[in-house]
Amino acid sequence: MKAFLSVCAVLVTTALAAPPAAAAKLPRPTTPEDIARIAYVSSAVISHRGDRVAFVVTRLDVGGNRYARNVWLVRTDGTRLQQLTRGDGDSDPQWSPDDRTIAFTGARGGPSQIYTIAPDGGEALKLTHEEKGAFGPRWSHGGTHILYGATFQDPQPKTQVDPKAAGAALPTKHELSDVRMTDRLDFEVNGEGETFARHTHLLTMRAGGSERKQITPLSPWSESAAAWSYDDRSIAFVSLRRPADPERVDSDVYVVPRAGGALRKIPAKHRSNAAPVWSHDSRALYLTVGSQPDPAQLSGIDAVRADGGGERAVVPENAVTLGNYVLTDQREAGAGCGPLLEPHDRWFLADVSVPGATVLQRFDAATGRATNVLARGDEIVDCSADDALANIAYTASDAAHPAEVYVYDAARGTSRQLTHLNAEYVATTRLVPAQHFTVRDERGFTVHAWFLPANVPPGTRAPTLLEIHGGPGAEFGNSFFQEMQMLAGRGYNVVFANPRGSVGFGYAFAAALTKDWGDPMFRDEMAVMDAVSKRPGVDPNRLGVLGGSYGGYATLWLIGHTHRFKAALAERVVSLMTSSFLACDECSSTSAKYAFGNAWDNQDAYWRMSPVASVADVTTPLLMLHSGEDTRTPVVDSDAWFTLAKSLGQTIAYVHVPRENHDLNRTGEPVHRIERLHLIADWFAKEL
Amino acid sequence: MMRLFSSLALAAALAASALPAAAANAAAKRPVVAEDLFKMAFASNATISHDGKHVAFVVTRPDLAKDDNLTTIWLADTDGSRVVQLTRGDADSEPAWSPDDRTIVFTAARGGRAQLYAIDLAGGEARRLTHLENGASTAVFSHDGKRIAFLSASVDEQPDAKVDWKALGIKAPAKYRKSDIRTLPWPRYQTNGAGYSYMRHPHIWTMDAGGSNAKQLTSHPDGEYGAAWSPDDATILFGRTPLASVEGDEGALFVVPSAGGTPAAVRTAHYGAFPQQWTHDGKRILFNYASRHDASSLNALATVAPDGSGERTHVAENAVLFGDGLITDTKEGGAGCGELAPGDATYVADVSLPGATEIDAFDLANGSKTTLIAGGREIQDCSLSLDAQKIAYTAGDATHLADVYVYDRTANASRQLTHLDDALVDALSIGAPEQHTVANGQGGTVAYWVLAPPNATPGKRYPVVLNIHGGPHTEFGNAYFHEFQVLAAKGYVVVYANPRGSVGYGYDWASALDGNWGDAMFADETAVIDEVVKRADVDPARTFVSGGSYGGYATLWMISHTNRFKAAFAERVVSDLFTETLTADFAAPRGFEGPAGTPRAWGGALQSYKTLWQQSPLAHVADVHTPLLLLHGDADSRTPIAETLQEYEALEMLGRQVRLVEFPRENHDLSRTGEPIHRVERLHIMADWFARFAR
Repeated sequence: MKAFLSVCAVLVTTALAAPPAAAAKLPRPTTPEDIARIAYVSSAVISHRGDRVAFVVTRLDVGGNRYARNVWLVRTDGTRLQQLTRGDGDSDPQWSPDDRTIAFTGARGGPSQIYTIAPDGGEALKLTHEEKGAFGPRWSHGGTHILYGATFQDPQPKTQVDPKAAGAALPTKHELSDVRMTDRLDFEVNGEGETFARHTHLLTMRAGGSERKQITPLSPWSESAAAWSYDDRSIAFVSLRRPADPERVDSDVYVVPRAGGALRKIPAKHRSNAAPVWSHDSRALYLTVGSQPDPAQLSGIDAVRADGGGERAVVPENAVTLGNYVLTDQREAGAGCGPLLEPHDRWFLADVSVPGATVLQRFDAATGRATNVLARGDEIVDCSADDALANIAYTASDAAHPAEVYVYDAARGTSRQLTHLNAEYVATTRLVPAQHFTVRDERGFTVHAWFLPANVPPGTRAPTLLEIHGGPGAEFGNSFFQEMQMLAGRGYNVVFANPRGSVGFGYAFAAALTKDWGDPMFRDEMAVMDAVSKRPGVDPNRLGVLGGSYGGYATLWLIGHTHRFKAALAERVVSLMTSSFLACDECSSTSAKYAFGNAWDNQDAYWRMSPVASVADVTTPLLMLHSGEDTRTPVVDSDAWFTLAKSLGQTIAYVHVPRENHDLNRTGEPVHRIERLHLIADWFAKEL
Repeated sequence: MMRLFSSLALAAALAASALPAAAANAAAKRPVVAEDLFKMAFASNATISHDGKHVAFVVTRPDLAKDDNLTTIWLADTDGSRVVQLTRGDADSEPAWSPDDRTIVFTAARGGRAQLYAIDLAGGEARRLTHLENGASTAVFSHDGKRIAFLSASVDEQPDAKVDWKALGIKAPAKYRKSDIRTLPWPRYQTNGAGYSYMRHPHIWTMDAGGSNAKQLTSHPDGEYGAAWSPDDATILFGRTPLASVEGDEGALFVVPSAGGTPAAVRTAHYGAFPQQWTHDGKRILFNYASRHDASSLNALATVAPDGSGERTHVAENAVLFGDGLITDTKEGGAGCGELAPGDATYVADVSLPGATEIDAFDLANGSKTTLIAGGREIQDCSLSLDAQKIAYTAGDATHLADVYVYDRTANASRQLTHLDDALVDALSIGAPEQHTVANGQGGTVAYWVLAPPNATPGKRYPVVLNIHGGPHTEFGNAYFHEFQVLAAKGYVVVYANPRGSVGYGYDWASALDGNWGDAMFADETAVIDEVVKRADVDPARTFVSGGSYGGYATLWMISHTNRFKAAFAERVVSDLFTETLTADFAAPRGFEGPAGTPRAWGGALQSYKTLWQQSPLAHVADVHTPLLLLHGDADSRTPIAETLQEYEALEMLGRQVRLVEFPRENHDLSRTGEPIHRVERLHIMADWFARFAR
């Protein structure tokens, strides 16, 4: 309730703030090509003293069909905005403890490496030369060393051809076999290909790059989320050092001495242990924990002694939604932030997903009691704090504004906007705030929804598009979604909602899809459309629906169960529950078994929940889009639907996008992203 | 015929009775190894000259240095005096004789797309005839020798990328001006081995024999095939299949003036017509048809006048299987053959029999057949001289790679023209399989073969590998199978059978899997393995099962219904009939449903999903306790890799012993026509997997 109010407050503020800038020029609607005008701002990292913020700006280079990503700087008083690096593949800036150096990961031709650069002048210095790449620099608290991760590739076995027996020499390029063999459950990751032969290990070096030292051994397991203890003696990290157990969502936290040596597993009460954060006395760790392979589960935070004893819950599971789950087409996901511990370990900051927004909350380290620190009613994408937790840098975005960098002054309780990289775009473009509304569903849940009004003359009844988000463990919110603004600019009202299954509305709301993936979502979206259809600006006879991933599933589900939509777009769909959950890259972690049981034991339920079971009932013209390299939702699901729809004589168009994976609309090749937006706009223009 | 037959019978008798002799002989010979593939030459496409004096044929050699299967055209004189290599390209195929027998036109990919070349028998290198952007293939000379009909594809142009470059303030980069997003028009948008084939439409062209005046004759988006000149060269017969068709086998006949004009449909009473040729008197068209949507159906042979009148069936449907249905690891059946002899009274064709193929002469008056060339082995293809007195063909058996033969009708005898692999075969200890049959307990008799280790020690018991063929509408038979020989040399008894579903045993046997893909096969294979484990040279505790495609399905079906096997090897599997039916390159949305609702096999996929699921190995995956290796080529669109991934992930979740092997760049034909290094690696991976459990 509180969060809901604050959303409204901010919407009013932004709406008032926009017009003066816009008055100079008549704003024009945003176009697909405008994705190249936007500066994608992220990763605000404040210096230890709190006087400067390093952040990352990504721009699309459409002519080169690539992304240019660089580290920028700004002072927390808003002055001296400057681009620091020019490598076009730079990310993850990290301040040295004395704030005189910034380490970052740079992909500057070849695999990424660790670089350092002085914020006050001079070019970057390359520190690592890891064959398969280095990333994630973390300064020791003393500032003498940098910890980082590096990728190691299992050597390819020799080609099993005996040249003597073959009577000819084996060609040099075939000396190593390119056949891939695995017996791991998780052997591929969408966008990264077959990862079973690649492993990440931890290394340290002196801050100048010398004394490279590997501190975790070569092994089939990987290490991540590494953190120095404050006394610089130990490093905590996350690793799963045994085959993934399909019955569990597994990850463990380990501690290793800084010089390397025995890895000590922190005994833990939970199946899933992640994101270790050291207490300032280096005696305890705070872990993000989960107990069940439950797709709806909300993580908790536990505190545990570094020797593994005395584990206690600080934030219980299934109480709050830690992290940023707001979904847009601006990025894959927000980095989130926290827990950020106060110097005396009495409390910490963390971001929390609330209805339609993310907020920063302060959690009491003893009781877990939370209070809002920063609740703007929009998306806080990421954050960082100075050593004293006096200043918090963050990036934030709302429906009409792409993300910019802000700093929050804890003493004053106020924020200052530090960057205006998108000011010109915002001022010259028709970007409309989202009008929030709610409906009550048949179970009594409040369903949050938004309405982006179409760019049409007043009094016109416009066609209206319902967007359904993926996940389903994510939420739409008050954050910039260029595709929706583009569609609104083309004369469509755009409606987006958080039906049951969405995150940010409590455990029961998210868990409503367990055992029943389609119906609760369907009922909620119908309730939303019933309300929308009564709006004066809506033509109830020209409704469309679109979504990707789970949103693609939902789109197929909707058109198989109602004829109210006159056109639909379904991307990277799930149409068959069995193949989707067995031929995917995350078969163990999607926890299908927890939610639905095994496919081979519960085929009737799997069929019932599969949209193809209702394909014969579809009358809505449909455009399907799938990427050639998508391993999250395999292309067979679109193929199967297309084949059936065609045989039924339905109106259907089907598009394959090469070289793209599940994230085409967020991180795909710029040319493809623009083409995709045109395809969508043209489809609805033709059918609505 | 008699001579060949008796000599083969003698060989079979030797194989069956003389194991000790083979063992004694083995000392001088060495065992077969996987790498012997690089030393083999495979003959195919025997094409006889009109005068019957020469045979042009194709030789395929897996080459290690180029890691490719190289094909060249060779020439053999039918008097046995000469065998020469005619062309020196890496990908030369489809030889066609000019009517005066002075020139051979062939298809060759010599940098870029395949084009047509001509080479004179009098000497000199080949000259290129076509320079078409999208290539040319499949030359057919007109009867007067002045013109050549051939195929060349039109390729849909990709539209411009929908990007407003002006709005971006940049000039469209050349690389991104055209969109590479694919708009797929119909479910069968790809073809295994040919990628996104929907964009390519093969059309019939004609040109002068010298290569000038190339002209496109047909242009329907569905594409055309099977060009045949009328005897007066005025008309060209061809076939066309509607691509958007849900079933895809609604082929139809057309004729078009060879000088150009509008194609006219040749109406046939039967559904699914496929063109063969003109009768020699030019009055009728010979074609095949299958009147039902039926994967098991055997084509009929019929004629019809070009105006659609007087249609007549000469060989009834489901009577014989025209063509070579034998499957090996070097090819999926031979090219087959069928030609009308002069006088239009006799049709000569390759026909599949139990475990073999033969060449028969069919009397068009009554459909009766006379065997011309038999021998209980595989005859891959054939061609007739102008007077039909000589028939060239390629044939091989279980211990001999195919060679070229010519049959003289007057003498009623064949002469072997080539000995491409004699030196290699002589040096190798190649095992001769024994053929047996066993009652399946359900009223049928199952043919099977046992290939024992050639160097077997009497009294010793060996592990057994049961191999199940793909299709299911193919058959094992008397043909060289490298994989089997490699395994036998490593000390396995290799067993392979033709269970129900196999072809060569009549329509009822082939169609026995309708509506139930697994159970009949399971009963037959079980009868075979039950019998085999009684053998003195077999260790019943060490049995293995393997197979690809339908054989992969069958392997999964076996291990989810019995725990008798110590380990299994399943390639390019079907694990879920619903997804396979809807997502394969031959996607059959109505499943195995006939026209006008005739129920056949399973019926439509939507209506029959429950049956399809019950018939899917995935439904029974929890019953698998046999260690399993799953192998798939990641460019396979006949059985998409999702079929393997589903089974693999399910077994991983169940905690079973399972291994996944993916071959990059390989399609459904990895074991037969894949990159040679991959083919050898595959054999090693298979042998290593069995060896782990055979100790």
